[in-house]
Amino acid sequence: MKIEDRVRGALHEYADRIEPEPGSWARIEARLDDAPRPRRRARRPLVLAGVAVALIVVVVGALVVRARDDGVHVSTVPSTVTSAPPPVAPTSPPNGVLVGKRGGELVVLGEQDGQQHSSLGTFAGISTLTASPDGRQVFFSATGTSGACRAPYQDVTKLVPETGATERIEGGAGVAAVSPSGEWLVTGVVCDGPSLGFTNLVTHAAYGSDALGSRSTERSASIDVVDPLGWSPDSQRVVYRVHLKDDAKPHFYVGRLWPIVPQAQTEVVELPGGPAVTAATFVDDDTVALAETTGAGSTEVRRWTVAPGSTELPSTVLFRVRGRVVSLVADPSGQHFLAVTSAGELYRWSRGEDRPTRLGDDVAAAAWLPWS
Amino acid sequence: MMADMTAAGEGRADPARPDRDLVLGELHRQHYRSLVRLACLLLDERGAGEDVVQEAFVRVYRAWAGVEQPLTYLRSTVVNLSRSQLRRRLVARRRVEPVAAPAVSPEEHAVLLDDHREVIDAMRRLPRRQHECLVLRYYLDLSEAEIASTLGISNGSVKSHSSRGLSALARHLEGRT
Repeated sequence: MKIEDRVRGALHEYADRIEPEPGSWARIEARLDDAPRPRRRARRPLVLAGVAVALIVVVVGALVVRARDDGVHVSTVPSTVTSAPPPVAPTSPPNGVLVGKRGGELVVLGEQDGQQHSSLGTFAGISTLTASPDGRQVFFSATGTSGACRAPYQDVTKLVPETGATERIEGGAGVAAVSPSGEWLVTGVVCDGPSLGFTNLVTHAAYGSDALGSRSTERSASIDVVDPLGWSPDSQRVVYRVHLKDDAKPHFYVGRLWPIVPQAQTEVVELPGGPAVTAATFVDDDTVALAETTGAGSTEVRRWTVAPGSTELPSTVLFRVRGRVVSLVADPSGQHFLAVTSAGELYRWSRGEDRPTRLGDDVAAAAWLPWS
Repeated sequence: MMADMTAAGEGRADPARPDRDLVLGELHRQHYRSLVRLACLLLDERGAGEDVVQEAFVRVYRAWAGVEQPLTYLRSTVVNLSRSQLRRRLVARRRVEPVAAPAVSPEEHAVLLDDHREVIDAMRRLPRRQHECLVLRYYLDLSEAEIASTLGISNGSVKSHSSRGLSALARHLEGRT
């Protein structure tokens, strides 16, 4: 064999088995967002600033030591570096419903009567939305602007309702959900290997995670779409839907995934599935609600305890909704639910109620909003 | 075989200059995988390979106004960043231990055929330019002109580096058999 052929064969044999990690496009975009272009001239002031900070620390340290030596109580020395305080977790039930209408209008409805309280703007193609626990930030996926990969291309955008300011958070990503802690945003990355994208809302670092919790590229390659649906109240686990290539039925999983937990602690549990299961959401840290379409053209929402190996849907029905539920959301207390049907009808159900209340129609997406 | 290298990002005329995000998105879709593999061949390390390619995309994005041929620029950046990475690694090794020729990992050892393993191992001992020319020629199937443009050297240099690299490889491999 000629040496050229041996070289070619060896290079391909070695390199062709290498598959990139999913989520690379998101990581590139995060780098663009995070790291400003380095400026050489900025180095000198930076060094000077570093020296100045070091001097301040030394002086303050000396003062503290001296104060202690003098027997004076020194309570706190303010740190020169502070991190953003974690968002406040909600303590009361939601008092508003955030709704994305099929026409793209983003509105706030009263949770009891469905009356429109305000409009936050119009964003074409809204398909999912989620609010931070303090209600000060809204994240939604809508028709994108970059067109980098498959159509319809979607961006995840942040909206600050108070000011109306918007900021594109991620391109090439679909569904999004904010963790109850307010620290993490999970998105369904579609652009470069379907996967779950995690964005830390405090540090703005972005990560990609295999939806099947496996590093097996063969298995991951079979994923067509990943839709994160919600977080557990303790912000440790995500429930999500996976569409596999050449498989019509959706698969639902609950995953404790990196970077939320260390790689060694990742765990993925498949939920009871089948073509009739259409949506899922967390009720509490160990329980999910699954929406199953019945033969009578309605949906039964059932409660299921997350446990590996169990594949049967339980008989306990929380509530029933007319039509096929395409989106199901519970508030962090697990007491209040929102369900959107394929016909665009929005229902609310709270524990103790006989039947759900219809809040509106022409709805594409809905989320609880602890602010209105 | 590699994807068509001319499909995205080459030969753009200024008046019809496509949108940066669109072109980079398309380049990513078509070439990200092959660029990662290229970086891994140059670096012997997958994690560092991905890091290098992502950084290359960021640099192309920032330098967009002056980039005439994005794919060539991207490849050049990947090669240059890989080179820098190797240089840093070499310095680090010098500080802690005598320089040893990089060897295949146990995983690679297990999966590569003997002959392929010998070739890869021998290539890693070649001078840097010869190694780069051979990887670009026989993995990416680039022409001499494309390799020259990627490495910023003349066509003649590409020819001589490739020829010397192949000869050295042949000698080394014959000596082992």
